[in-house]
Amino acid sequence: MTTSHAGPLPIGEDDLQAWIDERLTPARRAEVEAWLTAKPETAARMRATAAQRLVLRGTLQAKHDEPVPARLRVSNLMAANG
Amino acid sequence: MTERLLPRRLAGMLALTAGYADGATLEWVGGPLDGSYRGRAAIGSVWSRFAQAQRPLQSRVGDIVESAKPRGHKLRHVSDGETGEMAALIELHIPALRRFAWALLRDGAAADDLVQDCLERAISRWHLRRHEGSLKPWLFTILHNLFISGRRGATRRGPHQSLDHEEADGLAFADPVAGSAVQARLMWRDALAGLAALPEEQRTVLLLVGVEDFSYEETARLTGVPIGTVMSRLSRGRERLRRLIDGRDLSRDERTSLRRVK
Repeated sequence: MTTSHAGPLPIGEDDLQAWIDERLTPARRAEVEAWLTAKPETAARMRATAAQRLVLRGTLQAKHDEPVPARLRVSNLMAANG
Repeated sequence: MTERLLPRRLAGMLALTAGYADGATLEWVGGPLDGSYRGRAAIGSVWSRFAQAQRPLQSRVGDIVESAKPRGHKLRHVSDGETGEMAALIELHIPALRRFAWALLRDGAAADDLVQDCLERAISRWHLRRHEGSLKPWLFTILHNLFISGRRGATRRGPHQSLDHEEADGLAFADPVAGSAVQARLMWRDALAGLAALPEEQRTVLLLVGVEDFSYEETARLTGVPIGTVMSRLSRGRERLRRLIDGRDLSRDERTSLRRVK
């Protein structure tokens, strides 16, 4: 996602997704955000979507942080399967 | 130095390191190669320098410790512990695998069965994995493939399996932003319910990218579709989830499925 010499690339759906995922380079993010200021409705949807991503991550983090069941220990699996 | 330019025997030396685990270390004590080397690339370069200095050498790496140990030098090749190392490397990823499996299936026991199948396959195919890639995408690819083939073989339980309420209630919600606990509860309930109402392909991509932090390229490889498809699934899935949770623009189907999972 580099800026071309002929000026910024048009904003694409992939830029918007990468904005939500916080994966844009600072330069590209600035371009996307400048583009969004002219489109308040899109900007609001984007913010809502970004918030949702964080909610989903937060929700599923609890599953991630659970203790791993003993049956999933690699050593136990190897012992069980010879 | 590329493998192509090396004499055949030397190229073979490099290929031998393919069996090493990610975290293999080589400690070479004394002499010009003195030092500690970590990882296949570093160890491979030591072996090739050693081979150049020692040629002709027709030994396998496993034998080098014994047959070609430089006199007066202590050579310790630490990859015997590969079994333990494999276990440690794989286990690092189990929490994320469980999270992904649970989010796909929303059934704790079924999710852990899927993870167990994935781990058993990973263990038995450990020697087959592509070493230049990292371990996490490899494990997720195995799990995703097992999930897909399991879905294909399973008796259809309908496109929208009901949310496992007991499981969901057991999940604590950690959101520093949400105001009240009640509101937070509603938010995450909605997030899970909305996720459950998405088509499977969209849900998978949303999870791999948005929760498991795979790059778009990795997600494309992992799910076996072009990157453009990943982006469009991501975009459509997120938009649909947003509309589901906002409660606006619901199609009749979406309303029904959302009620069913709530």
